[in-house]
Amino acid sequence: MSGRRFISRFSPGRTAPEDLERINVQRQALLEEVIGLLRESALKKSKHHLLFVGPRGCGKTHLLALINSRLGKQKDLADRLRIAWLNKDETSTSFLDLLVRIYRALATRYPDEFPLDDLKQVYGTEPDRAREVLGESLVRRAKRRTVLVMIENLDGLFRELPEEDQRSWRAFVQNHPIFATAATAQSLFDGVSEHGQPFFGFFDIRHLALLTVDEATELLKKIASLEPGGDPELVRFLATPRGRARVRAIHHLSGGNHRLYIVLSELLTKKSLEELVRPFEEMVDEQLTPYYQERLRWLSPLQRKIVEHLCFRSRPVPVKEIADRLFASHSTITPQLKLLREMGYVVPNPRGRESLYELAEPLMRLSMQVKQTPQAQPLGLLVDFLRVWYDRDELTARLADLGPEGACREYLLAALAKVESGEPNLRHQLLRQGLEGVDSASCTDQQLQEFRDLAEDSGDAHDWLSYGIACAARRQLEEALGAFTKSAEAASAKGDRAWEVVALLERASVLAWSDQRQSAADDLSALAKREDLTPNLRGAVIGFAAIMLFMLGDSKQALDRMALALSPEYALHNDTFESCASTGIEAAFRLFGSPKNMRSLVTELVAVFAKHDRLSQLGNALVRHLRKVKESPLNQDGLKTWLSYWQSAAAAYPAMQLPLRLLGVGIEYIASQPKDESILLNLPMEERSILRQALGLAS
Amino acid sequence: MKPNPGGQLDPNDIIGRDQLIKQMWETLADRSIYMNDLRRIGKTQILNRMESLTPKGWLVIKRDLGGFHTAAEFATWTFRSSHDLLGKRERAFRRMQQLLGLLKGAEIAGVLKLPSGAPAAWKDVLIRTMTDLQEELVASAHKLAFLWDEVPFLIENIGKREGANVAMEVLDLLRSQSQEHDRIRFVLTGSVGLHHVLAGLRAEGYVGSPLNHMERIAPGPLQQKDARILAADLLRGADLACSDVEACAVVVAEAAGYVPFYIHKLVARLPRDVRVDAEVIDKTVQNEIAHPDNDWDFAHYRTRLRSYYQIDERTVLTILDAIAAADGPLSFDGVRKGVAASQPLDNREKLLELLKLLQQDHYLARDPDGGYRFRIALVRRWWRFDRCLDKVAP
Repeated sequence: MSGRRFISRFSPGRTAPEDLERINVQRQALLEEVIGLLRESALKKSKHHLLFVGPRGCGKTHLLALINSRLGKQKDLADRLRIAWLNKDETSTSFLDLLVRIYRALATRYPDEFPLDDLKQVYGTEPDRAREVLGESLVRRAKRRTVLVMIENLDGLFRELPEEDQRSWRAFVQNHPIFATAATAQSLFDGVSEHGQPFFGFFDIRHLALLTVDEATELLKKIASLEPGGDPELVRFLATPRGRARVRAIHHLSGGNHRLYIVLSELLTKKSLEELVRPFEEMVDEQLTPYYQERLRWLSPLQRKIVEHLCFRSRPVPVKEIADRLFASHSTITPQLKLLREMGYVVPNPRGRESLYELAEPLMRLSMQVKQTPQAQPLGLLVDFLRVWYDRDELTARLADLGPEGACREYLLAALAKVESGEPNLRHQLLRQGLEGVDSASCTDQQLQEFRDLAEDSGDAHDWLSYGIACAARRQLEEALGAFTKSAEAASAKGDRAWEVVALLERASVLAWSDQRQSAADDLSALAKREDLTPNLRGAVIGFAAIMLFMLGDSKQALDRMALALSPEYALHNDTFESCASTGIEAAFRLFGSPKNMRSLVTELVAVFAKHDRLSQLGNALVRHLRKVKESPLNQDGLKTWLSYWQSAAAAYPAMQLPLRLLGVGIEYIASQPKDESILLNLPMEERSILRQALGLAS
Repeated sequence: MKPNPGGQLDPNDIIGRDQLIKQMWETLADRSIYMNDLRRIGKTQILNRMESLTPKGWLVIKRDLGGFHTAAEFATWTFRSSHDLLGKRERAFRRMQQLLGLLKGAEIAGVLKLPSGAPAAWKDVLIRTMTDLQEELVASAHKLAFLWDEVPFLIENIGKREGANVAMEVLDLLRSQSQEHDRIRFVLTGSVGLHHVLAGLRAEGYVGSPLNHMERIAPGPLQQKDARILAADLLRGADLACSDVEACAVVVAEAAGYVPFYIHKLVARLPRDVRVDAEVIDKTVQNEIAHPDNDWDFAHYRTRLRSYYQIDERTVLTILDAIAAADGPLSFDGVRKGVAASQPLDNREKLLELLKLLQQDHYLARDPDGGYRFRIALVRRWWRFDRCLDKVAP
């Protein structure tokens, strides 16, 4: 198989239609719908004008090729439809030019029906006359059949076509309702989306989405099946968690871009890397780089700097970052981003009221990499791909299979070097990046799957813990238990005691919630007795046991544990004391049905914390607890009771004076009907501000 | 019927305009019509449907004039199309025959030339054509309606290519001819309002009033029941998984402000992989409005205020904000209070004037009981989102 086959195979216009059909993912429904609309255009008086918008490499030409192929095969359209697929590398600077291209495309495909003589006759005549004659000839030769005009890079065409010629074109279509259109563009442009333009609202615009991870996996499977005999092993592998994790990581490299996926997929399906690397480099050198370098030349210096900055950022960035890095102001950068967006270089991603910006075309990033990569050095993207897809052993095995003169030894060596240099595992990094900012306690099903795949792949204690927390939040308790156990085992294997304890504490918590309290208590006891724990960790375990016991309603045992945890030998962090205090206070608050027990618990909490000189943590937790008091349905009597128990238990302690003062005013405010914020004026300013925050009032 | 936003419809699929068209044909008995309204309200479709509903005794020549760039091209075409329609009699179009020589059997192409080879004067061509046409129409006991789309583009094109004076002359000639010949009528319309083009010509000294004698029509959105019928047809035609087509049609029609183009566009944008119901429709509308790259160009309603209203822009913004934020139509007093809350307002007459202009520019409509509201509900929704009015209490 020659290297050249790679390039021609995935140039959709030159790919066998049956291959295109077989690797079509994501677009089946769209394709069916579009075929239906264009059939209607052929068979009825309605005429549809469709515009597909999406970045370079997202499959627009593939879609047009499928439309062309499917419509061409439909027998009932044989005498109703003529297709003029214009050469995308040509441009038109006038409506006459466009007419010539359309007629020529028809003459090439249907030479008997659209004789070239008609075209030759208008050459050399006045343009206005030529336009009229050729237009009439085109309509006459169509003989009432529908002419489907397929135009790629419509945005480029509109840039070159003056407005008066656009008006002429529109008038021609309106006056001769035999035309339908299927066009593509890399981004939305003023010519079709701005109110004052002749073609505003003319096209039925469809935005083509980039591939999701599942769709990318589907694409890779289909490509694997294209090979003679197929590659069943790869297809099977792609269905496993490991396979899914790899595809997800590749997704971050490819940005969901069809073309890049197809390119990268070659690395998986070819038996030898030899057949890929050179053609890939040639494709980048001969096709992508000149194109993108030209595109950059159209930009102003500042716009170019913005695009270059985004080329080296793998995720969307806020305007502030761009402004900071380029030493420019927000107000300077914002209008440039707007222009870049209109020209199709960047896309905004709304986040609240701000937008984060990223490159519209991942292939541009690849091209910039090429520019930055010194000659004779391997391309970063391919090296990264190899690092993501193959483990160290697999890379070593492929290197061994390669002869000493193998052209892509340098890629494998570069990938292996990075793996062995101690750089973090790129695949795991990319997967974690994809989950950054996701709250594992409130994630989607898809994200849960990703947490799991990451944990399975990395075996890392932190990753198992995240997965466990996600499962616990969904009450998938058995699954959570398994995850926490694995997290603890992984941490233990690395000698990370602190993390092991965290994992085991989470495990105990799940056991308690799933009514396996004895198991939880046994686990915690066993854990507390381990000799390899530092005092700090042991104290945390005991403190945690106290919290758990409070939550389970066993205040007496909880207090005993808490008293133990508070002793100085464990040197717990203040936050831990506050957590214990908060849980104790909450436990007391729940005892409203039993005033005697409530008063007793409040008194004992004060005593325990006073004994260990931790009243400041108790006081902080008491004030913060006011938020929950405010949200509770307690009546005025209940609120006064709560206050009185605390005043009675803690009045003698100077460290509790401020918290009691804040509690008093806070209770008075909560009890006021309607809510009267002027009550807070009983406090000095700095104390008012603390209380406002505790009550969740605006400052 | 499949959704076809912006495309060409079968005239039989154009719903909800027959009553208007009937009125237009009745009006044409006495005078010509200038149809102006918001872009994409459906003016071209109205012309198409009108052509298909030509009453007995009328003939129609319909054309998008945006492709003509000179007065001569326009005049030539006017003659050609008239002659194709009515030039069967041997002595038909005798004045044009006098001008050009023998016409019968001749293929008339390109800009018309005199027997000497010189181009025929376009004014002469137009005047003679209209006069000949009148004669033929009397002889055949017909009337003729020219349904002309993109007239403003024609005038602009001529102005650019041949100068403002020629454009002015074309306008004046059309006016005089339409008044002189009682069997010839015009229906003029275009993507942009002719008043924009006229404003440009007035700056060059034009003082004519070419539309004075014409009936002005603004088609507006569809009636509610027609909008619902259209929405239901499209929902069925789109093969969507709809929980209740009629109920969804009500929601779609209302969400799209009863504008046919918006109805087509909204149905085309509904997701195909879920069951469509009121919630899905509402979410689709919101996504379309909120997307920074949306192609509905509602922003045009905001950006054009500066050129339309200039120093009054700020006041107009406040007026529109007040009306958008209100739960229902706002009385004049309500508008006044809303504006006064943001800026000093001591000129009642000015406020009234601005409200009138906003109605003329199709931002607002006025209910029978006097309340002001946004003319198109979808635009109001976008305005509230864009201007961050969604959380403002009524």
